Formats: sequence, C-alpha cells, structure tokens
Amino acid sequence: MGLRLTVLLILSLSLFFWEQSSPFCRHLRFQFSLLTLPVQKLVDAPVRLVSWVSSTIVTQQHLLDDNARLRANELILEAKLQRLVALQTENQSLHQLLNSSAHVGGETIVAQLLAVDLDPLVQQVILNKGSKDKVYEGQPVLDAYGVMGQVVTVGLYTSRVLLISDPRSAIPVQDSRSGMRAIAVGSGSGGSLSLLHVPDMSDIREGDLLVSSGLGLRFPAGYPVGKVQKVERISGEAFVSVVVTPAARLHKTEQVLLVWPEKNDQYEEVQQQLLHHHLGGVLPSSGAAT
Amino acid sequence: MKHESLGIWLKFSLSILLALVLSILPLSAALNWWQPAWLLLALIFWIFAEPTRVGLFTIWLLGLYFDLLTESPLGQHAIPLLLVGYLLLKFHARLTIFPFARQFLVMFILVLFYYGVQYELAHLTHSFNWSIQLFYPVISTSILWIIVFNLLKSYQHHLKKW
Repeated sequence: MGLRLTVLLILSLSLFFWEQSSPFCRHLRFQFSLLTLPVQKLVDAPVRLVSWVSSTIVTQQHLLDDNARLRANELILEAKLQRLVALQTENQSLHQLLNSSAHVGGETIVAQLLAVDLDPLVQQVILNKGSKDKVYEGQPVLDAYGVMGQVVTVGLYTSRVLLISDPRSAIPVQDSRSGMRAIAVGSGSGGSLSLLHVPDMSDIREGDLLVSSGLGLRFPAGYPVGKVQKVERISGEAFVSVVVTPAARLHKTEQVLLVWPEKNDQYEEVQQQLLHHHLGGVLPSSGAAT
Repeated sequence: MKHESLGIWLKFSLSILLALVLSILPLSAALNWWQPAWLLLALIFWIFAEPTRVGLFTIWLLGLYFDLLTESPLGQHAIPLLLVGYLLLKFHARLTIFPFARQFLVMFILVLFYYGVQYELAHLTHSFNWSIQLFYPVISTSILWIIVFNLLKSYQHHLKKW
C-alpha cells in the first residue's frame, strides 16, 4: 500500500503543478467539470425551490402594498428617464464636437448564480451561462450596483467568474470626484479592495466613488466599482494605503449582467494610430489642433 | 453475499453523495468558514467500517472530483485526503482499541494535518492572509467526528448481529 501511496502522490503533485502552467489542462479540466453539474444542480434546485415558495406564498395585502409602492417608483423613474434621453442627445453632440465617437451601450444578458459555495479561499462564482450563450473569457460581469468581476473560464453551459475581491483580480478605476486614476486589486475573503501605488500627494478622500476607467479595454468605463473606505498615509512611505468597499453585492447577488462592450470606433482609431506609427508613417491629423 | 455487497456499495455512494452536497451547500458569509470537511468525515467512517473495500485509488478519485466541484486546483483536496486516508487505512485497527479521549486527540491532529496540507497547497497557487478563520473548519470537523464515532459504534454493533 505504501507503493500505491507514493505513485498516487507523485501523480497528484505532477497534476497539481501541471495545471498551473498548462492552459490545455485547464481546458480539459473544464470539460471534466461537466461531471460536477449534477451535484451542483442537486444543491441549487432545493435552494431555488425554497426561495420560489417563499416568494409565491405571499399575502394579498402585501402584494397590494408592493404594487402601490412600485407604481409610485415607476412614475419617478419615468420622469428621470425623460431627463436621461435629453442628456444622452446632448452628450452625443458634444462628443461629435470633440471629434471622438460616442459610447454606445453594448449587448447584455442576465445570468443566474448557481447557488453553490466554493472554497472560501477562492473569490469566484459560477454562472448558468456558457459558450452556448456566446460568453467569452475575460468578459465583464456586473450586478445592479456595480462591477462584480470577469469571466475566467468558459464551459458549454456554465462559466466561472473571478470576483474583484480576489487577490488575482485587478481593475483600472478612476475617482469620480477628482479624476485620479489607479488600479484596484482584491484583498481576499474580506471582500474589500485596495488601490495599488497611489502616490502620496494624490487627491483621494474617504467616501469617494470609484468607477471603472475603461483603460485596459476590459471593463466598460463608468461603472461603479466601489467607495473609498479608508485612506492611510504612513509617514515615510511613498504610497498611500487605500481600502475600498465594493459597490456590487459580491456575496448576496443572485442575478448578474454579462456585458458585450460595443466595439466602438475609438478602439479602431487607437489601432489605426498604432499601425501607422509602426509603419513609420505620419499620424493622421485628427482635426482639432491643441 | 452479493446482496450484502450491493447494499454496502449503495450506502457508501449515498453517504458520499450526501457529503458532497453538504459540502457545497451555500452558507451565510459568517458561517462559511465553519463548513466541516464532510467528505473527509464520510471517508473516515467508511475506512473504519469497511476497511477492505475502501482503497487509496477510490479516495484519490473522490478527492479529485471534490477539487472539480469546489473549483480548487486539482490535488488541493486529493493530496491531503490521500495522506490521511493512508494513515487511517494503516492504523485503523490500532485506533479502534484506543479509549475515546485518545481517539479524539488523534483525529483532531489528523484533521489539523489535513487542513494544514490543504492550505499549504492552496498557498502555492495563490496568496491569502493568515487569519484565525482558517482554524474554524478544523474545530467543526473534529466536533462532527464525535458523531461519526457514535455512528461507527452502532454500525459495528449492527454487524455483530451476524
């Protein structure tokens, strides 16, 4: 039996290290994880059943109250929407004046989280949409309140999302008040984020809202990422320690949005400029001289 | 004899399935760290109850399946399960003779070892901060082992009827 143990241990360790460096292995792994779908569904189904039952069995008075409240809300939102349309058209004409293309919202679909708990050491969730629904690796995932993370592995029916609170996640952000830019990385199971390499003299305060800056061309710009919780300036250190609370309800959300950012002309323009630069040609003049 | 084998195999599969389901049952964020190692407990039960039927290869495969289920690096659960499984398969006869308190102590150390190896492996793939929470599942698993211990006693009593 000792021999068996040694063989299996060597096999296991090689598999462990091979997985870290081989995308093929990770791809293989996700094919195999289809086997775990039945167990996940087994857990997901009763949890979903319980929440369905509790939402279906509701008193009439409760429904009437809800109804009245929702109608009132709807009225307020309609009014805001009218203002929004006006703002959008104004925004578009301003962009045209500045000779850049307007951001058109991309396509989105709603996905559900499978009600399973992964290893607490890992800040990931599983969605019920996969390559069958044209989900792609690196796709941004949002909830109603802000950015949740990005898709890291795609299977046929499900995909895995790395939450922004995972230490391996980094998202470029911008302070909505001061315009200061930084990168927000996850701090782990605490569910908070921290900003990297923020210089001492930066204009950043507690309570500031941080939004995605769109740099890195991965996350669409302008979505809330989090609120600055604490700014600690340690004397002698070149950088400031900033703790951020995520806007998205990372561990409470049940439904998320998968976004296909519109491939707008701005990206193509950047690509064109890089191409010209490489070919040694003159950069095309973009109109307004600064 | 065939009937008996089938019955045992069925009970084994169902208990393992139950352990897997319990492992991924969503718990609130506060309770999450207390989630015990159900699969480990189930395997401990079966190693003591039917040591001739549970082999290292089965343990290894279950460990890998568990890694797939929890989206962990392949081997993070399989390797500690293999090590603990080997130790138990080798020494289970001696352990059953131990008085309860000593068995509990041994089990506690084994569970600690199981999590220790697991965290070491996890640390190789991604960094995480040390916190007291890492210790919670060791406590909950050890406490649940007491139930396993009692289940084993009634299982063996049931068998002695033959």
